[in-house]
Amino acid sequence: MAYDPSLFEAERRGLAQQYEAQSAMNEYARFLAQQRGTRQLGEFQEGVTKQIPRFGRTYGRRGLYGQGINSGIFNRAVGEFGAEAATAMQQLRQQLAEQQREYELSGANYLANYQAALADLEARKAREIGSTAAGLLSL
Amino acid sequence: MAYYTYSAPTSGTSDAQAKLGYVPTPTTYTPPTSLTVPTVPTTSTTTLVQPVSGEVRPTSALVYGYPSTNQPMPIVAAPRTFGIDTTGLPTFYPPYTWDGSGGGGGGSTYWQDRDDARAGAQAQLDYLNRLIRANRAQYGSLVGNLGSAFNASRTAAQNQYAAALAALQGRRTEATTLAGQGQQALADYLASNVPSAFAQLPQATGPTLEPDVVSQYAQAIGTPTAPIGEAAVRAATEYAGGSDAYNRLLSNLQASEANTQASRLAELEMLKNVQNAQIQQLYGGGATTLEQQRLAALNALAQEQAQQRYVIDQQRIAREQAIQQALAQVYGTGYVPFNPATFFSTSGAF
Repeated sequence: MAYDPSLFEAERRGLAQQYEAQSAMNEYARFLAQQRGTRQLGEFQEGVTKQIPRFGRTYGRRGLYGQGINSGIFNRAVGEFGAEAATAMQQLRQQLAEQQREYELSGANYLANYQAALADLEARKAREIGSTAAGLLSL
Repeated sequence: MAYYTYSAPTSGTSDAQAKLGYVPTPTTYTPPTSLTVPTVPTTSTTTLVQPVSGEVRPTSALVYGYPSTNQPMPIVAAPRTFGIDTTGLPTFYPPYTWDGSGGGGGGSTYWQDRDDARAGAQAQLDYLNRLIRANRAQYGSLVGNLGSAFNASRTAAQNQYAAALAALQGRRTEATTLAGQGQQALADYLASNVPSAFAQLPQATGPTLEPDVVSQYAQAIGTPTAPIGEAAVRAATEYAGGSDAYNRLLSNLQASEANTQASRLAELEMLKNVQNAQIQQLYGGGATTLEQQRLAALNALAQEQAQQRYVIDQQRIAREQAIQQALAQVYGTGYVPFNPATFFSTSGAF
């Protein structure tokens, strides 16, 4: 068949539309994930912040916390509580970062597939031009 | 006798002409431009026919008698022997026989009749010789025209071949140009669209340690924050492996991307070679076909020319044989001298 550039243009447009749709969905999902992760992190921090006064009151009622009181039990409890909170916070941050990286990787995959498809299309175009050119010698 | 010869192109011809082959240069038989009709000697009682060479005539009527005009007697031609030993054989004076009459005043008409017969034979001989010359002249003209016609046909065939070959070469150039444009477009695209989907992704960094509210609270109330910090570091270290894994994955993907680009560039080079070879192959096939057609046309023309020449030769020979048979009959009368050199001449120079 003779070389028809309009067919290639239609195919290119289809690939672009597909990539743009995939990329947009991926980006939206990434945004939602980031929003969710940030909210979780914020809610956790808020919960921890709310727990601190209660923590102090709890140990204060038992006489382990107060002005002038330096309780080892209280200090260990604070340390453990802080360590758990820090570990949980780190987990949340890491999960959020990994989720973001996952969506970035998906976006890069879509882009790579799109670029590969375009390059294949250009190669097919060059092949068809050459085939049409060779057909001139059959006239 | 060769009426047609082929000669190679002379120096100064173009390369295209040399490739087209030679054009035969006919050597035509040049007929005499004028055929003079010899004057037929009129018979006259007062004018003697010229004696034939070697002919001996009596000067008087001592033996054979003489005409009334008292002219010297015609000489009786020595009988022709044609190389045959006629010793002892009776003398023969064809076609008339002397009747032995004569003597006295009147005398016989034998010699007059003989002169008349000889004059007639000479006239017939001259006519037949003229016929042969004319036949050969016509033959030469026919052969020349035949050669010219076939030369024109050969030239036309050569010209058609040259035109077709030039058109094929033009299409080859056009095809090469078109294919080259397609190849260059692909090369330009690959150069300006280097894959970078993974190359542009940032590397994953290690987890950062941020002061949280508990640490701040502990610091504020004077509680040691070391356990909190250690726990944070421990957690960060555990998840640092994830970042490393991600970075390794990214490196592999980037390397794969670069390999793919190199592969595409290699594919482009292969495409160039294949397309150029294909164009050359198609051109070679087309040129070979044209050459075969040219040779077939020239061969057909040569065969047809030879066939027509054969027919002309046949007709010429048949006609000439008929004329020579008539000549033989005239010579057979004995009234005209027979010259084998001119009778059997093929040059037409009678």
